[in-house]
Amino acid sequence: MAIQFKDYYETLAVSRTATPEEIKAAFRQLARKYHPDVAKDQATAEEKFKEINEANEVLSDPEKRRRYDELGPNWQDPMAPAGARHGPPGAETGEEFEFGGTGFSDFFENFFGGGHGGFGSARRAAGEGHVFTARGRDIEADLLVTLGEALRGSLRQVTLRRPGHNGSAGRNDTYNVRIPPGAAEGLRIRLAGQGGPGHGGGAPGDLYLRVRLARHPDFTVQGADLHFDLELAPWEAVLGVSAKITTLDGSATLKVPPGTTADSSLRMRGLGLPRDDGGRGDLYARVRVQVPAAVSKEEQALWAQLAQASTFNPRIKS
Amino acid sequence: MNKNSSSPRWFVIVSPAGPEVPPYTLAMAAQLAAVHPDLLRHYCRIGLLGPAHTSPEPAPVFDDNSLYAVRRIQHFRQDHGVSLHALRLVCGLLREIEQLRGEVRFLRDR
Repeated sequence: MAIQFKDYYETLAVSRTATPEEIKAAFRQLARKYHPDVAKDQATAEEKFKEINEANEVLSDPEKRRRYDELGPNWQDPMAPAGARHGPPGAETGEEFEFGGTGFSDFFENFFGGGHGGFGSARRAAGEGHVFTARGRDIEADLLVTLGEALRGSLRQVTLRRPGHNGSAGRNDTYNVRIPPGAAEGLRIRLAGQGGPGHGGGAPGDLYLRVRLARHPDFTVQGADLHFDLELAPWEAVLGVSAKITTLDGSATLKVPPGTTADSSLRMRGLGLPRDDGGRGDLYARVRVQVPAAVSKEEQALWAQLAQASTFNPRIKS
Repeated sequence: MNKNSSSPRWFVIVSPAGPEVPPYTLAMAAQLAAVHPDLLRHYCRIGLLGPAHTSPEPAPVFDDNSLYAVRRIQHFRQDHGVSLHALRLVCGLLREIEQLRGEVRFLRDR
């Protein structure tokens, strides 16, 4: 199994000493360009986005980032990075499964994913001499799903390279996997009988694909609800505005009422992800008030006039 | 590292979609997870296994996550001799970890 090292810092174009904020900003910037839900050129964007998402998964998580930094040049030496290695896929039974089309590289799966884990009685069955039947091992792998796919559902092609037994060659299986609309983080899609082979006439195990939602450049997920930051000019927050925003469904107009304060949330009903009960979650806009960094002479005069006229003092608690 | 075994000898397209698609009834879930329906009922009763989601129907409904959970419980019990009592603790912790992970992810992404 030839695993290729991934330079996640290079992928996000950040320095090795980048702060979490810099990493977040770099990811968002790249994701706006390459995320399949928003990219203009879908075909080339998809591969690129997978790399960006993977790099972000590792570098935005302090624990994973620490392990990644510890890997260093001897990353292939199994003894070198203490505690970094999860164990190769299928370690329990000495079998190696390799997946394609899941959205995660073997490098990621090996060091930072759950591995192509699974469980079952294969090891015990193989170790004992007498004949008995045992069900095959269940195999599990992560599947990267975008919010657009989670909303509308999609069809994805996943390949699984199975190891050969007793010197026989391995085999590639290709699955057309239907991701149901409303697929939530952690949902498992079961491919019946596609796990490890059974023993002594036992049934084969199952293959489970576990949904992992790809990070979106704008929306964060909380259950079926989505959140995003709505940037407003101070006068928009004070006077109110009709803001045109992009949602998963397309675009919508959000009416910001006069006197909207910073950090307040505005709810747009039913524009989130599908819920179990058939309805949909909500989309929340968190208000961020931005102040112009530089102002013209005329603007400055107007602000000064406002400062004179206004009785508002944010430091006095009423 | 470049072994010949990494090149596929043949390429098979398998249509995985069986006749059974979630949500499953209790009887169907028991059959698919290869356990007795009474055992599945027992797991639900002692809180090892929750129904897939809060459905308006009184009968519990199961999905692929439930099947995975049952397989995992069976594995822990049969291959590692873990008691039901310990499993309740383990399953509760796993559920909680999953929930907390989601929360951390959300807070970190904001």
